[in-house]
Amino acid sequence: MEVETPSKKTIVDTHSKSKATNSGPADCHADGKKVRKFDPNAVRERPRIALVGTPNSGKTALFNLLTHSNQRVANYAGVTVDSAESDLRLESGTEASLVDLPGAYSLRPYTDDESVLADALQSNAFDGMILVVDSTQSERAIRFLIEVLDSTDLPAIVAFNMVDLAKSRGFDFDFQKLSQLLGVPVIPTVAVKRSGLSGLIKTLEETLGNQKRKKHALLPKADSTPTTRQEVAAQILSFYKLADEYLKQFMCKPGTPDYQSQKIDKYVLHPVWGALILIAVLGITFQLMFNLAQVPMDWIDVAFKWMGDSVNQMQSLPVALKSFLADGIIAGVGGTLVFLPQILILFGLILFLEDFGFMARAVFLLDHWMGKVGLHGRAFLPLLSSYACAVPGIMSLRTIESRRDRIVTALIIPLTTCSARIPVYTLLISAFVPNNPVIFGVRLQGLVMLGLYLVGTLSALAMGAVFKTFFLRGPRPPLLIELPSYKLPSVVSVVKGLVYRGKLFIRRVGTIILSLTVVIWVLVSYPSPGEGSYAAKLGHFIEPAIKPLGFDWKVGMALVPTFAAREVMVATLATVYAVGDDAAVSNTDKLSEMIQKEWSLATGLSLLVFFIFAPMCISTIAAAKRQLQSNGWTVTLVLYLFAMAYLASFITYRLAS
Amino acid sequence: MVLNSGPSEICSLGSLNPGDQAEIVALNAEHSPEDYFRRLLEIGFLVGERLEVLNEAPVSKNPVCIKIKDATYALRREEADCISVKRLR
Repeated sequence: MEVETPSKKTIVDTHSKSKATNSGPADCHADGKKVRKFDPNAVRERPRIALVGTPNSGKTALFNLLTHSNQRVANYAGVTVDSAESDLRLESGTEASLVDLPGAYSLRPYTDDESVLADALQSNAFDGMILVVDSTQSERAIRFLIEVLDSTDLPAIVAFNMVDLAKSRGFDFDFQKLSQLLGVPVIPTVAVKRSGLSGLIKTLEETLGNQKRKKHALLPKADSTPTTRQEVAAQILSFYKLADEYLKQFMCKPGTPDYQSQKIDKYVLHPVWGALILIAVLGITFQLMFNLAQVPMDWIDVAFKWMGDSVNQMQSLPVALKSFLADGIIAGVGGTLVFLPQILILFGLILFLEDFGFMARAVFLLDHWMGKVGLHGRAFLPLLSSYACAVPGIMSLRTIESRRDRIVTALIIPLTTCSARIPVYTLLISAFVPNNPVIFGVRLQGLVMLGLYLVGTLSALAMGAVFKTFFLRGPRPPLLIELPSYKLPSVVSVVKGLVYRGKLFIRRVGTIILSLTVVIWVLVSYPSPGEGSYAAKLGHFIEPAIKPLGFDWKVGMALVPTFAAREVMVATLATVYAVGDDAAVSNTDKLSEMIQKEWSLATGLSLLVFFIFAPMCISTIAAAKRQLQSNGWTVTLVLYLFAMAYLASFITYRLAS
Repeated sequence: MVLNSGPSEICSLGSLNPGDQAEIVALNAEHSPEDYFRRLLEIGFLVGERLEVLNEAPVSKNPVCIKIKDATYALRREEADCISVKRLR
């Protein structure tokens, strides 16, 4: 147990560090206006209440409903890695605040995200707590309740959550009896359906006014803290014995097992059917990204083209301003924004799978194969969330037990195909790959896109194996992951997730992409547009270095700003070619025609390959530096990715030309 | 070595197959990491408890899904071997 202390320290450090370096309280997941990062040391002006419970019991769903927030909810253990805090108005009008803590199976932490809970409860930072129970797993939950209630004297109430699911499976509980046994109020709730919430808030307020409870009221305090395995086992056993006794008294009727999930698993985890289902789902999604997305993409395109044309037709505007608006801002922003439909389609799939309960199953299915490259199956979850954006992926590394594995995973996360690559891939694919039907209505462009995702994924795994074998050798931590019951994803939850993702993308376009576009327009237009511009000089300057990859100075000019954010490539190309030529290129089809004319196939493919590997995102590198807590590893990360990109591009160019 | 001798033989948890039901008879902590073993206890792997093996991963047949106390967990066979069980069916 002595080992725990330093690791706890690092957790607190990372928290405060990331707090200091992040620009504001509005972090990646905090979409609502009042949600802030929980800080146990902040001065408390109002009562603060903690949400405590086992993983996946619906704490975040309750938090969202009680505080009208928008934290991400999904159906697997460990979604919440950062504790969020938000305001909560009690019935009498008193203001309180609610903290959503990561779930844990017990107060003896197994992973870093679990120690957040154990530390928080010992920190004196709370005035009360809501204990959230998954009714369908009441025995395990009651054991946890006994442990928590006996460890602190905080006033507490129990939210017996998901009672609708329990009822539908035949469970019947006597809540009054349970309340008597535990000595705290028990309220049945269904967080996702808003049921039982007003009762919960009312009881919470009454309870806050009460005296503190007694510690060790349920089980006599052990003479000494259990240390040996036998003592620890005996203590856990005594919790379970008591839980069993309680269960006999308050559970009037036990329910049937979750046969439905077992039935679904028969197919999803089946050696043949499971693989076929997975391939079909992926195939359909990538086809939709190219075929279904085309219609809304055309609308966005037409809208921006119209805007560009209208600006160009305004006689009263000076020529420079017209060029700034049409070729700079409208071409750049429109050229990037047009990819929103594709990004939403990919996220629709990911959100659906998360809510359905598939993610933990994916860990189960992939553990053996991840083991081949020396990684833990659990590393799959941070890797997967990196397909959206590498930054939250790197943040969720906290759920991995071993530091060695955290480093390896952080090193390979930038290789997964994040959504910022979608615009670049789409542009290059539509310019250089014909959209011929291949088989059964499957078209080539969608297949190539899928192939790019596969190459990114396989190289991430291969590099994982390299790092694990040569630099960070060590034993593989054991696998222990819960497979949650399947749940039909709620439309509201998926739509909310999509809106959040969409907003994030638009915000990025409106800030980083827009400002880079302005800078690029200036560089491309002055002192004289095209060949005589600063950008052209810069492009010519780096041309010798990128010539072997098949890139001329125009590509070089577009590449430089991508090291801040890779999707700016599209905006830059649009600006570069719009300023260089007289015709406005705000139309995406036109841009892809243009680069098709200007570049050879070898150059296009080489650039595509460069984007698979190159470390082109400042935020990712910053997040990795925080997580790695080492300059050496951060430099390694940037250099090895850059070297890989250069080498792979070089080989592609040689082979293709 | 335990010989296969009828339905109620004692074997390790890792040697069970999908569809098997068993009762835990002993926990052998010596060879497993301390916090892993503790976590197994905490989620309900206790002597006398009944469990069922639901699935095994395709091809590798490892890890396996185990249902215990109304919840399902994925464990690796070699790591689950610290649990001795009596096969019931």
